[in-house]
Amino acid sequence: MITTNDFCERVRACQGSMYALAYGILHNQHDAEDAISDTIMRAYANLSQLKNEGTFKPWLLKILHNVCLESLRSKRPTVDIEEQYDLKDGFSYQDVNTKLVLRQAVSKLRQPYRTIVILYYYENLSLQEIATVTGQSVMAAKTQLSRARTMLKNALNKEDFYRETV
Amino acid sequence: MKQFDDMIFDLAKKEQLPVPEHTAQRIEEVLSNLPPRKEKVVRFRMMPRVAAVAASLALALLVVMPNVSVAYAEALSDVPVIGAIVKVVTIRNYDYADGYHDMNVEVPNVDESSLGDAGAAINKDVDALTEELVNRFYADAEAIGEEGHTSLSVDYEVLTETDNWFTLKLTVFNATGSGMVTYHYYNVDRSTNEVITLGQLFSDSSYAEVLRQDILAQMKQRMADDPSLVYWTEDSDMGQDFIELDAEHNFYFDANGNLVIPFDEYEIAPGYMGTPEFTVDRSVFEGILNPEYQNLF
Repeated sequence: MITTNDFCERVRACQGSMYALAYGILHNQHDAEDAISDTIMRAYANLSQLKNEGTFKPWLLKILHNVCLESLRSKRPTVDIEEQYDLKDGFSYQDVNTKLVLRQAVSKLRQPYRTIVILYYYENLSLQEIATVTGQSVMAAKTQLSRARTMLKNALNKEDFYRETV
Repeated sequence: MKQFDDMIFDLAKKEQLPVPEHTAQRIEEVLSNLPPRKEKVVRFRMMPRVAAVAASLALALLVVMPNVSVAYAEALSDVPVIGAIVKVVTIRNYDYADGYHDMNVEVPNVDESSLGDAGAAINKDVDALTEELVNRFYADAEAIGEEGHTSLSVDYEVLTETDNWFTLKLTVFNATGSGMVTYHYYNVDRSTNEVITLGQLFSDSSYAEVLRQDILAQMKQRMADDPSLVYWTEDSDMGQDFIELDAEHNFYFDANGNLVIPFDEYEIAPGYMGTPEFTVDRSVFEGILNPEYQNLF
């Protein structure tokens, strides 16, 4: 059984991944913090439902993913969730000092491709784990990653970045 | 594809988004506020197998039977040895879990034959509160569906039970909204079977300032003793203290008759300080205590 101290340690170990995912979806530090706080409380309250302690990270990120969707939904309840999830204004550099080339390209991806790329490339999650987090099949996650890869390649090509780097 | 993937992995590694200091602080605040988990199993592991089985059966009878039979619960209260622990029984349990939403609510029922009107008033208040919480839980669970997680738990504890005084503490952990832990204290004067508020303990309204000054001094002392502690005082970033003790403020007596004043999260300190409590020594307020409460403990 995971004790409170174990739980806190595991959450601390995942805080970078949590922030990357929450910020990637919500584009706002304050909202990301709220979502992370809410997620920690929910995860703690539902810890008994975690059957395999080895899957703590994807389990935690799955809750966070759901909380972020809820957050988007509650902020603009009259707008379709899919429309909201596809934020058009891209990445905000408000909280980041340096301009990051890949992140800029990733931030311009539509959902669900942005989330897939963050989880796969930045957080090194497997397709199985991504499927758990996003609540879909492994095949669907694989297809989305393939499309995201193409989109990313095109975006970086447009910036003349890929040609210069590779 | 592999070449492209390797390049993206490499770039992603270099472009990891750092967790802002403020975010890390918020995470620490939440973690330090988590209530302790109930680790009931550990107690049984420490017993020999036979004793553990016997204890489990006894506990099952004590817990299950009062739940299924009010008559049984009342009968148990007549047995002197265990009378004290069945003064309050769990009259209803609400359990629900579907993988996304989890609820465990234990609704206490105070023995009205012992506590009279006060017992009836507490039961009515607890029923209304738990019903509202449970209804809100189901409504949230339906609205959120499989898009999120919610959790509600309600537990209770008899803090004080003497010939003169009775205190029931209700703990609500609600992760459905933005709330966390809240406490409700019910204090009963057993000589009159009245629910007593903080204001009713005292002969005049000076109690609020008397208690405030003592708590403020304790806050400063605790911070002097341990620099990691933060309470809001006039010296803090907030520039003032936020101790406001109205007649309905939560309180209970400890075993020595000292007054314990609990505060909610964020009421007098940052969230990571949890729900602070301050024990005010009896000698501080004895002079303004109403005569009927002078010899409670």
